[in-house]
Amino acid sequence: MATSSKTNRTTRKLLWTLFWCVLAFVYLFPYTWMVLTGFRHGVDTISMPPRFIFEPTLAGFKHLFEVTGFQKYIINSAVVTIVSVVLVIGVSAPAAYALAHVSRRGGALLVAILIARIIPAIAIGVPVYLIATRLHQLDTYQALVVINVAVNIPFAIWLMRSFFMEVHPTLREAAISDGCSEWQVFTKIMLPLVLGGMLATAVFVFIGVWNEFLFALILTTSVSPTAPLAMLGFRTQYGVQWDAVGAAAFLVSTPVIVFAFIMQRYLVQGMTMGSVK
Amino acid sequence: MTDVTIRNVTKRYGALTVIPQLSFKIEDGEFVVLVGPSGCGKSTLLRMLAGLEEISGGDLLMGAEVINDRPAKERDMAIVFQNYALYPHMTVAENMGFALKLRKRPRAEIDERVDKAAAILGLGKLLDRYPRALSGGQRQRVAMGRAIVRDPQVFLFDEPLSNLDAKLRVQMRAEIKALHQRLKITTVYVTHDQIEAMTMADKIVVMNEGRVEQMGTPLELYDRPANIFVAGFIGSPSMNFLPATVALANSPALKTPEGVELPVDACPTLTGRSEVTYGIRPEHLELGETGIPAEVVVVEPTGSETQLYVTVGGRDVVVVLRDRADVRPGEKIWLRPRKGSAHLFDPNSGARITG
Repeated sequence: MATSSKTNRTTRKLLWTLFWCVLAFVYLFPYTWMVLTGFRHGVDTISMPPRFIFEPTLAGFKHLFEVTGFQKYIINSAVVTIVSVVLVIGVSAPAAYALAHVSRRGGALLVAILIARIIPAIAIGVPVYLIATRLHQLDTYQALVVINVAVNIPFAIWLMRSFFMEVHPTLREAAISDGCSEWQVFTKIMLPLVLGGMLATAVFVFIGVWNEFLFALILTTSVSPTAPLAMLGFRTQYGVQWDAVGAAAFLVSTPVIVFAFIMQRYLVQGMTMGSVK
Repeated sequence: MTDVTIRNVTKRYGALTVIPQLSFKIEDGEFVVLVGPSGCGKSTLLRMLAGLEEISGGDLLMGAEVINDRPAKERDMAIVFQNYALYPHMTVAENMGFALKLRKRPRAEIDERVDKAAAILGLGKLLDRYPRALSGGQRQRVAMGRAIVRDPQVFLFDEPLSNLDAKLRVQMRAEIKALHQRLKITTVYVTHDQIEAMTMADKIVVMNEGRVEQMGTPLELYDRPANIFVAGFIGSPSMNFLPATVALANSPALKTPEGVELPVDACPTLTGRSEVTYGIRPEHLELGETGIPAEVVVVEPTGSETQLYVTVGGRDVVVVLRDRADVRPGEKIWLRPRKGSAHLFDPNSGARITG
């Protein structure tokens, strides 16, 4: 009996391990294939059957930086993303604090904020383009920053509000009684307590802005296009430049992956907020 | 230190009036306990004093000065919350010195005052710890330390012992009382526990539905409750109430509707009444050879006393005997009220009618 139950347990363990291995393969294979694409010649990528053993090359990266000027796209992305994240967090944190602790009539505003988030980006694409044109802001950093901030603020407020709600309201009252102004309560008591949540929110916003494609496509042309747009250029009339596509995809995704990896702990905290006590 | 006056204070939330109109005075250095059932407005009143809630009408005064519009941070009142509200990211010393740091006091002075308060509360060895590493009792002391360090004009306590276990509660109760005797700072203490109120207060304010039912020293409230609410609220176990009719016109002899005679002392104010509510505290009933006939339902010996649950004419009555009693469930006994211990109330208004 004991031996058979042990065998059963081992079999179950083995099946689970196999299941996770398959799942890991399903998730990791496309990314790995993409990274490999960046390090081989285009012909190796499209050869049938697929070639897993190949002669590595940096031709794709060389093409990126020497021919297409990819560094410009990366710099644009970095500037737009960093400025947007700072602004989103800077605006959302006090707003989320106020909605969680100060305002008694925040309900309607919260719904309004959510509605702003629900509207599909494509629905406001044309008006946004027209406004940017009228204001002579087409193809500028500020246009991209403004739209990214506007799109991400609702999400950031909602997420951060849940972090602030976790702080017991008597802490604010104790601080006020101790002599804090509302701003001091926010900076000296609340911010240190929700720092983890704030970083998690920053990671989500960073990923959102860094990957943003639609508004970058609508609002930029030659001066301020971001990295995701660079990919479009590799589809030419002569075919797709697979080595350059792979190299660019690798470079674009790396900061997101590194950033998310470093902030992993906070990300999990952000995603499980409210669901686990 | 200062006295605090609450003058015609009202509190409304939209159409709902929580405190209709409240007036009383807290003397300089006095320990006043606001007691009452949940939702009676006692915590709301405390928060209005602290400046954490706005008042809808009336005046709050510290000394002779109206403080209605004075922000919380300028009221010089320190509040201790039920959940302690310690800042989790600060050490015990930082928690205690936070208010002084905000006031930009010199480092040396902050350290000195924190050390002094820590010595009073026995927190000396815990100053470098974070709140998460403290027990409930220690957290409670830190919360008090944070209030003491400020050397405020008024201490406010909002049910500070509710989160502690029974043993620790008794210990902290004595500590808070001793602290008050030492510092002599005007204190307003909110609780729903009448034992806490009785043991700690110089003056108890019994509140119900936003009104003051009675105000006085603990023994005044115990000996001469102003109405049925106070009589039932103060004292543990609660006072027994029996409906009664005046047996003979203009005579103090009372009978329950079931015909049980209730002995009372002569009382001229009963003249002209036909119905009253007869109140007697469980500890004021003794076993006798004659008196009120009763049947024992449950006997609960606790060692120091014996609690009897009996029925008098079918109505439940509790008796607390200081001496050990050899009685059994089902047994018929006679209860004799101690002389002068019966309370009579108007059954309609609930007001006290004995002189």
